[in-house]
Amino acid sequence: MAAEYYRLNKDKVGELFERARADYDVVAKTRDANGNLVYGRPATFDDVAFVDEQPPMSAKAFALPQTETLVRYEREDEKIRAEGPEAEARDVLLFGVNICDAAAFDIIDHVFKWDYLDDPYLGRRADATLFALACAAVQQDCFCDRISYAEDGVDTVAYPLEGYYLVKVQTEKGRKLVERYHDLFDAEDGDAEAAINTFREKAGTAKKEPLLESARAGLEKAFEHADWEILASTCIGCGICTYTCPTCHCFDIQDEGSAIAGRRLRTWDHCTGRTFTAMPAHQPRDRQYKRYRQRLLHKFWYYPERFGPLLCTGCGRCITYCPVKINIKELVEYFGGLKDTPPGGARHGK
Amino acid sequence: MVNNPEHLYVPRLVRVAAVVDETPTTKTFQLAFEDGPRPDFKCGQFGEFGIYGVGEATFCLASPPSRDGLDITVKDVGKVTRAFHNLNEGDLVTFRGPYGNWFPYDGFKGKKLLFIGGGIGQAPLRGLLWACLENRNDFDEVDLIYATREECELVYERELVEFEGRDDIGVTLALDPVCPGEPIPGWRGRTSFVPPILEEDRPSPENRVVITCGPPIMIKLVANSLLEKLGYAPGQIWTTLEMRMKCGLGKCGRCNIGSTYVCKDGPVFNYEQILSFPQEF
Ligand SMILES: Cc1cc2nc3c(=O)[nH]c(=O)nc-3n(C[C@H](O)[C@H](O)[C@H](O)COP(=O)(O)OP(=O)(O)OC[C@H]3O[C@@H](n4cnc5c(N)ncnc54)[C@H](O)[C@@H]3O)c2cc1C
Ligand code: SF4
Ligand code: SF4
Ligand code: FES
Repeated sequence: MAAEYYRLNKDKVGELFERARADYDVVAKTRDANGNLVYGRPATFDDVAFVDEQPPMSAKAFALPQTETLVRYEREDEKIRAEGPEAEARDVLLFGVNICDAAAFDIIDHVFKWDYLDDPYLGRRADATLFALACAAVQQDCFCDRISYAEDGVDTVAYPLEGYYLVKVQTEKGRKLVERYHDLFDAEDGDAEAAINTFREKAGTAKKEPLLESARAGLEKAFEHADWEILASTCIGCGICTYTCPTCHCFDIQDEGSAIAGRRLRTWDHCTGRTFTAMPAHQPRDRQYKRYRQRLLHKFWYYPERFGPLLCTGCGRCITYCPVKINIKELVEYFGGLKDTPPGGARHGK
Repeated sequence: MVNNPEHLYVPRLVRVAAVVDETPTTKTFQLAFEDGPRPDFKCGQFGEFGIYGVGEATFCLASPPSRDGLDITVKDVGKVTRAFHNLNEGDLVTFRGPYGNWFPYDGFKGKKLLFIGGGIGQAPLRGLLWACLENRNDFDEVDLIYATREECELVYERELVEFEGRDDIGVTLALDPVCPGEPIPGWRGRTSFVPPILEEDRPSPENRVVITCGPPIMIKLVANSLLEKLGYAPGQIWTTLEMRMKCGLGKCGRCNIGSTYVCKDGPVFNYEQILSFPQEF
């Protein structure tokens, strides 16, 4: 659909949240008991952090939970009864989600819907409406200004302008949301795209050349680059980058329970882990730098080659939370030939 | 709600109809479908097999589609495979599949076929080999070279004996040499790795395809020998690749080589494709 633009007065946001709670399972940013920012289910708007600050964990768990049941089984005498996951009762509204988290869903939809349809993921995805909040300033390590990911799959984006939110509606699901609470929204008759562009210039989120997409040609020649071993072997394979990443989607399948009753579940998994590809007689990624190389190349070469978009929205969490300070953006620039000098010169002894 | 009447990860239940001891570490399970017809499959495909409470593992479909049921041959290497070895006739296991691509059977018609198996790598070749023997007139010469480390590691021994008695298939069995060239007492086959056998017998590349499966190092050495010493083109060599798999259907992200999902685009590959992959092997 063609985009539509509305105004939402800043003092109406609370009412929107409260009323939406009657119709949706509303997820929003809130502070947990330790004061950490998380995506959760605050009961009142007072507990909502309607801010652009980025929580350490992305919002992907609402479509791909960290652990979920694929099959429940029960044995009775000689019979085994097994059934698939139950459908969730209510539609989810992700209220005030960061754009980099919201845009990630469209990117990983590709893998879950090509060929076989992954019904657990796609079911939750189809039921989720995204109401994103645009950042007024870039966050600590993010680089969304360097990635041209499409935002048109994000149902609605709210841009905080002077006195009101400019709400851009991009999908039918977004339109349904606005129609439901239409008395809270006013028509926007100004030049909305111009206002958005000005906002993004000021926020530092306008796209900047060279985009990381342009590193692809260089990366395709860099598989055997000698510096992987120097620059990526500090990775300790902890998986923090993957678990905080909005686009990483790899999983393991395990059984929990006994022969009599239990469940077959899937859990997040990560390619930087030592056992990810270990086989009895053979381990293709037998060194840590090879496992990190998989991570980087999957995001910036393999996935776009297969499905189109980069497997990255530039949220920067993998840089912020990496315990050994590996910087994927700088490594992409270096191995992709956008920069001649390797990152972290002194630290890596180069 | 996208409601799949059939959930992607909910397996079917199949019954163990018979268990055959192959080697000290390998058993073949004949599986029967009781909850409905057995799904169609093609030689080269695989499935995710499991035991509730233990988990799933990937095995190739090791019998020809023309036969009833389905055979898998399982080597005991870990958690799930150990649990399979403890199964008895009548037990129920889970099955998802068939998954993956298959050997281009029709493309092989009229050609000379050389099967080269190594160890448990004979399992993915077995279904195709039998399918070819069932339609023997569709093919020119059919030969098998099968190598293992020790004699007790030969799987499908009774079938090998049957092949040796037939005149429409050439069989060469080989054991890894402890001391190269020195015969092993009582051993009816050769004592050699596969490449020296190829370089000695020199099967000509003319109108021949080679179908090989085994440990990665064997596949590599066999391919090098065929390409460099015997004048084969990469397109004449077919193999199946083993990568660690979980979902088997292109979702879990575990089996990739570059942008190729081995579980979807493979496991059967032509050597020409393999040479174009990032060298992750
Ligand atoms: C397409 C395909 C077809 C296959 N066909 C067959 C077949 O026909 N027959 C067959 O027997 N097998 C086959 N395999 C291999 C089979 O899938 C595996 O052997 C099986 O999944 C092992 O499962 P497991 O639970 O028993 O082993 P696990 O307990 O998961 O462990 C397996 C092995 O992985 C290694 N490993 C585990 N954890 C680690 C670690 N932390 N560090 C290093 N190494 C580790 C160990 O060597 C261990 O023995 C096939 C695989 C593929 C991909
Ligand atoms: S980077 Fe690694 S963990 Fe993330 S999606 Fe790719 S393969 Fe999976
Ligand atoms: S790159 Fe950093 S965060 Fe990611 S696995 Fe390696 S050490 Fe952990
Ligand atoms: S086995 Fe899961 S993607 Fe290939």
